[in-house]
Amino acid sequence: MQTKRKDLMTIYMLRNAFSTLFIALISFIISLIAYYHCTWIEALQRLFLVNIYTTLYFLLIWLLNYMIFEISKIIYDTYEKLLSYKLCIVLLLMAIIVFWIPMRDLFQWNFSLLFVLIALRQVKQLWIHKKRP
Amino acid sequence: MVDGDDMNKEVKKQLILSFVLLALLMTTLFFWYPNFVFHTYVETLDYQYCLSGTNDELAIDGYEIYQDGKTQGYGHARMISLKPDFFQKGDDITLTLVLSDDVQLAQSMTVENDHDVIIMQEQKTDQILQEDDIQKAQLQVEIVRDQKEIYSQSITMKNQDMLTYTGANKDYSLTNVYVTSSWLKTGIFSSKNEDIAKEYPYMIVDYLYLKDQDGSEDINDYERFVYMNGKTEDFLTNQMKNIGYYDGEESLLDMNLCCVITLMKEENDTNPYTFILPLNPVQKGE
Repeated sequence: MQTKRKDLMTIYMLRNAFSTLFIALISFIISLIAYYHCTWIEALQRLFLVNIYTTLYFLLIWLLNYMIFEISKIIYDTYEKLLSYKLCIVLLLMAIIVFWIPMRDLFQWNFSLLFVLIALRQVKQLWIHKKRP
Repeated sequence: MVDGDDMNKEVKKQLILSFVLLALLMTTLFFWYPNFVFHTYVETLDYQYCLSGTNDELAIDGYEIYQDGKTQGYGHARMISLKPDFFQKGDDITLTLVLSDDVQLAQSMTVENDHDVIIMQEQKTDQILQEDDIQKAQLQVEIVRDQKEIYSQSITMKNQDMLTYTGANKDYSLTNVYVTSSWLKTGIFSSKNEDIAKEYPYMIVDYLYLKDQDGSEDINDYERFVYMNGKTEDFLTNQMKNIGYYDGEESLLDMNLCCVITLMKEENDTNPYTFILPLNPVQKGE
């Protein structure tokens, strides 16, 4: 039972890591394509092959995403009882509002997608709770 | 089992640790940001291409594709008919530059008089152009006369060798003059003196090439082939652009080029300030 739980934990963490990685990757690719008018293959090359600064920043953004996501999980689990669909709507609204905040499109996309991911995770939790109160 | 209080303590510890790490990470991201932007979002290079092509009926040259800041433009081609009375008044001409299946740049115009030479307009586009596609461009020429299509041919366009010329003296400079063997696009004029537009509100810019390539150089040996006259402010803000064609045997790239700049205090200044900027190639164009 214990090992099974641990396995599940690893799978969850891997899944979260992958989804946050995916968000960072998509945001960087969108931003680079918009800036250079290039194909996504060239954007990938610019991200990983051209210089170490871009790649490192990408990894840091991924780490940031992962941490924000994990923190949101901790906060969520603490105030589980207070949660409702309202918070999801707020998160989704924030995901849209982000595009009007003056910052680089890379961050706009990244945070927008991240908010959507957090909202989705909450919807999933709420749905589980409904099934098994 | 842990009771509620312990759980809360555990969660608080986790949260505090997470926030400390998050703050560290944010600081790193913040201080690294200028470095990241400098290396990632490199200044995009503007481009300039000049295409030409010919078949039995038409010679087309000076078809340009360029990006200047955020503006992307194409067109400006000169079409010369190689057969008499090829163009007639009222003909509708459509030129479509086929770069790939997705990217096709179209423009059309109506012939206004029975000339043998037609210069097309310049058009702006938002389409994303791939540099590789420009090397294998095809120009589709369609002519409609009295609502009947009388001509439809595809011409293979060749990318012309191009050099970028500049000219400068102590106070004035001319940059981004694009030159091919038979074509010249005028450059950007700038001055160290910020009040030049107030001091000399009008100016004339002439582009010349040296007629005889013998050793002795004299201003009278130069032939003028581009002439521009306008407000100094328009020149400084790069709104004055012109194209020159050279139809001689030789290549413009082998000739001595220069630019004569005339600065005037009023529109018909009898005593203007005139100087010559010799033009020299700076780098190989694509």
